[in-house]
Amino acid sequence: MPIVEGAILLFAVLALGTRTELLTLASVRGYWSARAARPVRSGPTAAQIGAPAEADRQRPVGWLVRNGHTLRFVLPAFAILIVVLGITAAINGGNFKFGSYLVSLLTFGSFLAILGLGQGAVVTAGGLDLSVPWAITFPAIVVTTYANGSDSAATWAIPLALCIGAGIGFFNGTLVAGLGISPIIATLATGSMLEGIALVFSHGAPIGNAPPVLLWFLNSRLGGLPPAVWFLALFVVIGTLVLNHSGFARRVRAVGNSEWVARLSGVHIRAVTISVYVLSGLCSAIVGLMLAGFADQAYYDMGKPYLLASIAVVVLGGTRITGGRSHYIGILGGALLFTAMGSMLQTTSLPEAVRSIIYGTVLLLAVILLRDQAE
Amino acid sequence: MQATALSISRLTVRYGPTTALDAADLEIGAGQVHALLGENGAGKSTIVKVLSGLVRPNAGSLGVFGRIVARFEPRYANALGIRTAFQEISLVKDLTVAQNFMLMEEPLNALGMVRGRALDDMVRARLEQLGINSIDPRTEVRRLDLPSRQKIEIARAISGNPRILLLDEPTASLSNRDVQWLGDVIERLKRSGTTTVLISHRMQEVRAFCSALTIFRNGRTVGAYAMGDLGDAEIIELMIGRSLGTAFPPKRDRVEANSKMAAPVLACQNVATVRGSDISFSLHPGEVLGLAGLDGMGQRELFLALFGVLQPTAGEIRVGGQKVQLRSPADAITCGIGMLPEDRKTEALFLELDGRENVSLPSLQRFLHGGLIRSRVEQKMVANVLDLVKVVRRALWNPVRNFSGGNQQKIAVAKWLLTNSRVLLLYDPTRGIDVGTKTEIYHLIRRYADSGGAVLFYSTEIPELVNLCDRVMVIYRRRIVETLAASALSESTIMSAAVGRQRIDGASEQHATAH
Amino acid sequence: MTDEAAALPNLSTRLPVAFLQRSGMIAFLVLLAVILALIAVSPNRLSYFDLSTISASGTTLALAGIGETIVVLGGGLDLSPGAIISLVNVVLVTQLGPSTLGVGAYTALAVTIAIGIGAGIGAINGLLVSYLRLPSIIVTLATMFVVQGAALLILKFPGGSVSSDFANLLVGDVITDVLPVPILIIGLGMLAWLYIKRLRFGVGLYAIGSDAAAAQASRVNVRFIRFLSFTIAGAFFGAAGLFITANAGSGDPLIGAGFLLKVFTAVVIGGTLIGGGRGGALGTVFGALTLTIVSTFSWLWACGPTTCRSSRAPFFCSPC
Repeated sequence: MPIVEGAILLFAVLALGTRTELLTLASVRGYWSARAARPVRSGPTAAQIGAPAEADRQRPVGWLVRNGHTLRFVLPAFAILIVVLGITAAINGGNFKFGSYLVSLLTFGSFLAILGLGQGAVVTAGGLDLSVPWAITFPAIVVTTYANGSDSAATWAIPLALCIGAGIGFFNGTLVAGLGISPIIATLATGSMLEGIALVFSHGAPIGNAPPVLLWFLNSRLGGLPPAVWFLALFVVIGTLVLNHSGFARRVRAVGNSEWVARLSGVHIRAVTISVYVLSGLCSAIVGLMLAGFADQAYYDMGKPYLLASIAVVVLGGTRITGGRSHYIGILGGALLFTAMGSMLQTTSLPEAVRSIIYGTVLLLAVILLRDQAE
Repeated sequence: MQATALSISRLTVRYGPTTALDAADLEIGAGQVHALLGENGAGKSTIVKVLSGLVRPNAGSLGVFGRIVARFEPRYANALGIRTAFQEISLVKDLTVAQNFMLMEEPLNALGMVRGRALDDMVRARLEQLGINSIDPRTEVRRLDLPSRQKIEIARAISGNPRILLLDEPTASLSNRDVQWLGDVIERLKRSGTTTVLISHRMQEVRAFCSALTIFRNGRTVGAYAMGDLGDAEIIELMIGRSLGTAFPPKRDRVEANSKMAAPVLACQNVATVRGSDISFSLHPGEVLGLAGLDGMGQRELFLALFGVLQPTAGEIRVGGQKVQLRSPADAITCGIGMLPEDRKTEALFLELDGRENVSLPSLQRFLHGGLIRSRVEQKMVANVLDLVKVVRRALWNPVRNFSGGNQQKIAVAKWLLTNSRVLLLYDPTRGIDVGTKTEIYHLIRRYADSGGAVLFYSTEIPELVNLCDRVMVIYRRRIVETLAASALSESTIMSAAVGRQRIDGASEQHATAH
Repeated sequence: MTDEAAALPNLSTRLPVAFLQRSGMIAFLVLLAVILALIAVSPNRLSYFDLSTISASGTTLALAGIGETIVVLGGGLDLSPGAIISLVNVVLVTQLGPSTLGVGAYTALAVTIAIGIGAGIGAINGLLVSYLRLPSIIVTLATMFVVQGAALLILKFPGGSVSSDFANLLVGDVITDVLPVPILIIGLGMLAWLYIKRLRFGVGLYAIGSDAAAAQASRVNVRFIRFLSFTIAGAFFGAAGLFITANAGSGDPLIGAGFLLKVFTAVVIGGTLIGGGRGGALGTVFGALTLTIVSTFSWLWACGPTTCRSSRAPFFCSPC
């Protein structure tokens, strides 16, 4: 039984001795005592010590110089995407309507794009979230069961589902940060326990119906595009800010590069770790809701294809799998690329098996292209 | 005419945009003990890596006993009779001493399996032959302390009966007695014909062991000399390319302004760190307080406790008069304490990130507006502090790994200067740093203190403590055994206390450098 | 300060546990405890049939676990065991099928095919990871995709069969009512591991997992050993695929799908550190057996009292 296996895994890891640094009241006391001792006037500033004045004007550094490193790993996904678009257009010949293709690409791609933020944050921090499929399925099941086609129930069912997603992330984060369990093991175990719970909940059959608001979100048109696509646009802006331009982003990158150095630089490792898993859980829940809205139901297997897809998307987007480097635009590119490949293969009516082979090959090629130069 | 053991001609090694070796030349006669001297980033360690087969040169040629080396792999170097004791100890922590010793050369039985007991016995015999009797070959390396690991690293290189022995900073963690041991070993090897190449920053050992030296600067060969040709000052001048002048900034006359006046910014009362100790002292604004001590006397634990990494088991710490419990470095930073740790590569800097991200991290709060980074402000302030430490502006945008050791250390210093901390804890900040950069760092420390900052400065080089600090505490067996005021500071007084002797007036019989 | 563990001496209390963990002793004790617990709880006596069934169920996982342990010890991760198991299964079923070759020839052919495929894919993984320096998790993820796709291409839906003589050979008894063949196979796997561990390759593998840079400087041929570790692991996965084919008697392109979690669980229970350098496959085998017993037991428990009536698995009738 998956629940049992997952639980065994966790107990095994815990029993065999992990470093236990539980969050204690003492840490909180430490925080407050430090704040109380905060200096009224700061110590010497650079200027006081004798930094030279601004007099010596240096040429402002070009945008390309500043962002060259980033472009190198963000662009490949888009480059391959263009190629795929070209092939798709060629295959469809005269029938190809770019407009409607683009809309469906964005709609389908939005699922992976959203997942990509969560998984991307976790990977950048040096971890991995293998519980994604169940963090998608379980909140979806909750919504379809309780909202079951009614909007009024949705007003509490949807927030509940989002909280569940965040809660799953919090649980993962605590296992990894608080108990020192390896992320692969921790999230694998959580995932399998959730799998068991979902199985019991649903008895393996699709249940309930999505509330109308979700159906509207995915299937209707607002200004020519499904609301989900507008949401995606907003999400991309937020995602880029969160993953690349915020203080949070810096700390995540720091943790992913070296926990020890990050700690010695004043980063709260545990808080950052838990946050990224919570973000991942939240993103998974959002995607679960969207999928429920799209299919008008939730079923046991709905999350399965998304685990490896989320990792692939993150890697295609130039994220370093060992942590420390990522950019959300790259991940967006990866999501669109993966989706475009999928739909291109679908139009050629190749069997699922071949699709799988092609995904694997493209993933491999991307990783070869994107690897760091050998020393 | 003696045979030439090593002949390097116009060797060039580039790591991306950085040139580590630039058409360098080196010639070492057979049986010589030859020193390679130079600042950090001068190329000495790179030469060792090339000779050990870890790095392939971009241009130039390398000849070993007359044969041109074409393949650069550790096994090939080994086959040529080259053995290396690396600066960064190359022992595998999860294996035992015996396994490490004979890695890839273990005795096998008929089925190809390693014979464990035979291995242990062989290694034990070899260690005894080398005069190491206190280390059990069955111990896992992770259980050994640093000096023991260094001895094993050296022993392993020596036991292979090398034709050419490369020692890169072999005495960094050795005790006085062990340095003596090393000297004896080198002498024995010399008599049996081994050629030894020694890299060390410690002039005393270099003079004692070596008969010739080659000086490098910026990846190029400056010149080769016999040991008697040059005095210390000349050597340093050749290493840094200019006259050293006054290495240390002038000390302010602190007699009147000392201690009793200003309120201490940091005070420890009977602080006991993990290993059981009792430390009390106070640090005042504008003061550079030195800390001297042999390895493992509790200084590391003290620093970690002051920075919130370790929790003291007893005693209290006060910052600015206020009692604090520092549960994490973040707490320490909040109170205005910053720490520059021992190893810049693994503790102070993110090698893959650029200078901007590295330097701004502890001070990130100041650049945040609604959670987002104010890029231009950050850029300006980081550039400002990089100018202060004299690091090129392009460090803002390039991964820190591309810069030399000295520059990396300056970037690390910049990181803490940007925090506007009122207390800086510096743990051996100039270790492994070239002479030129050291001077710059001394001046920075002085200016920081003169602007009102307080510094706790631990160093393994006594002259630094004597010349830079206003007071020096000596730690011995986890206690402060001596606090020396400016007037009483001298190498001998510090050393005596560090080895646990009572203060003796007059010269001590110990060597000036004990580690 | 360079060693974080050394910087925080009191917080790491793993040392005594670590030794037991490494030699697989803890996993063995856990296995023993689980068996004893079941004996205590079950109203029926442990019969030979139970031993046979359990070992048959657990052999696939044990073999796959040994392979995965080898990769993990070297510091890598291999996500392809499930896919390789599936591929081997469908190839055996479609290419050999219920052929009328003699048992000996059939088995020899099957073994060659299974281990050949497994080692071949492992070698590809090894080449990509070791010589192209790609991260193992992505490489094996990608090969997993590809191999799974290939399996689906070869056999679209479950079906087919293998020679029943062959199946009985692998799942039957060495000595009737005393020693089931699966136990023998597990034993052989463990012996193979003990041999590998004591080779220079084995020591080098631990070295690489513990500190690849130091190993490289110590003249270990890091690239080759890493490559070899994936290849040998692949061979073990192939063997696992061979066994599950004999056990199931038929083909299913998704037969390996659920294995990834189980394999990692077995490796972790066995005491091997993810990241490498410490642990061993003996513990993994005990972990695999533990997991199999608990799994079977929990399924039966969940499935309810009807199974109590089954006379074929008397031991696993718990008081319902």
